[in-house]
Amino acid sequence: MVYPPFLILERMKFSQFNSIVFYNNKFFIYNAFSNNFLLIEPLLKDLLDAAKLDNDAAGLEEIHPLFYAKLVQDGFIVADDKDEVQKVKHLREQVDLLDDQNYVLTINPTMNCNFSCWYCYEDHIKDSKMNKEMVENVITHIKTVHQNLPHLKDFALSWFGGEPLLQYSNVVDPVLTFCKSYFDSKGVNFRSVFTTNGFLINRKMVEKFKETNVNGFQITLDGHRDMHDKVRFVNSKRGSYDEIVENIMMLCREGFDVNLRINYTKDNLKSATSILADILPLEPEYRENLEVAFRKVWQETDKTLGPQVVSFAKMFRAAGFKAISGGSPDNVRRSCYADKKNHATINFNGEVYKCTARNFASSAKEGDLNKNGQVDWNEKYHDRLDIKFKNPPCLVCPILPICNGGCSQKALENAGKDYCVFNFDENAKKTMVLNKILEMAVETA
Amino acid sequence: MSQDQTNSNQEKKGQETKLDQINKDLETNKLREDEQGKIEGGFASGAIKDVIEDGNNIWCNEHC
Repeated sequence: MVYPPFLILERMKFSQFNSIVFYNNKFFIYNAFSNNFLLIEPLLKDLLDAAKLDNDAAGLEEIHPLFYAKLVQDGFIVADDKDEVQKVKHLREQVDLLDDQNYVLTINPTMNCNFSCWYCYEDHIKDSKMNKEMVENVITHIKTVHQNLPHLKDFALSWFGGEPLLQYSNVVDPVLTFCKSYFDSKGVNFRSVFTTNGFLINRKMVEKFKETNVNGFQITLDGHRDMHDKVRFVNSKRGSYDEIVENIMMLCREGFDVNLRINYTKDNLKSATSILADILPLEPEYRENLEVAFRKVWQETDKTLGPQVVSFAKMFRAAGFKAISGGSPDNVRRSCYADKKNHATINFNGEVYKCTARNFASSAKEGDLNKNGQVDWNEKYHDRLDIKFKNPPCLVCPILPICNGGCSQKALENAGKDYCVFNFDENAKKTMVLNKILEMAVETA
Repeated sequence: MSQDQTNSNQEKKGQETKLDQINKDLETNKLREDEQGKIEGGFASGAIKDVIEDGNNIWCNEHC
């Protein structure tokens, strides 16, 4: 191993972003800022503890020079004058506020839906749909965004709702057609994704999706057939599971990325094995197009389901699918679109929001789309962009660089009080760190 | 071979490219003491690799 020269004269300290977790009679030490980890023998953990107790990071160098060098190289030991929180703030600014190369636009063509899931947080509005004038305003908005961002490289269009495909002909098709042509002519990368229940997708749509740079779908199942069909049904005799699974496999075979979200409760979780059996006919070469994501229904209060979810995710991975169990936050580098300056969610009626995980009530809107294609943002938008790093417990937390108190929505809902998305449970944080190391693609270094 | 056995074998194969490699690295870098009484070995390193490509985080992880 070759190590770079170090600032030997500089006083060093242990990074505040280190976590140590027990694993198979050894320990992982993980740094949430550098994303590096070391697997260490217990004796080295004892050495670390002793050095930390004595506040003598550099003392390790005399006992184990190579270990010390590696700790410095990988960000576990840093210069004493480093303001580590400031580094995270700087990173957040780069990602959320200063990135002028990316724009994400979310459109809700309707607040209507062909299903009525018991856990949905939205108020569905039966006759809601984006009218022609609003579609024109959206297209003007897209042109305005491009004109105002001279360095724009990637424009992502995300369809949400309600069920967006209920307004395929009136809204989705004309906007996709415009975007494909417009951004091709401007040399900007354009892609589009759908959050859809997947029931209305047909061959004709798929051909159009291929022509207009649609590349991904998030489609949800609520457990296996019997359970799913009790939640999402056409009528008392007709469910939707079989059609949706068929459409998921068609999309994968056509080269689209499909994020199969399994909304689980303690009652339907075990049926994931039957879902796997249903998608196994997908040929191996297409399986990597399918990522399975387990998400607990937000009303489910059982907190003991985590290990089962991890084992189910492993089962899907073993069969060649991608799978995530939902326990691996990365809220600074991979922050939510709603945390970013260059994002808007335009509702069917021209009201503009950021977060898509709350009801689209007029009282919660953060702006309005005007006829010039610009968004007139209100104070809620500015409050959102300013809410990060306001929660004192986060500023001394070892996982600040990956958690940061959750998304901006969570921070806004807890404004003015000390909070922790892990309920101040240090063991829960360590379990998350361990799962992150065990589950995420890992590089040796 | 049953489906369970197939899955188990595939899982093992998958793991060997990730954490198993780090465990092997630790095996070959055993903790030891040199002639001057300094410690060597006892650690192996890894890094979390990004699994999401830039700009692709366009689905909320909350309950949407």
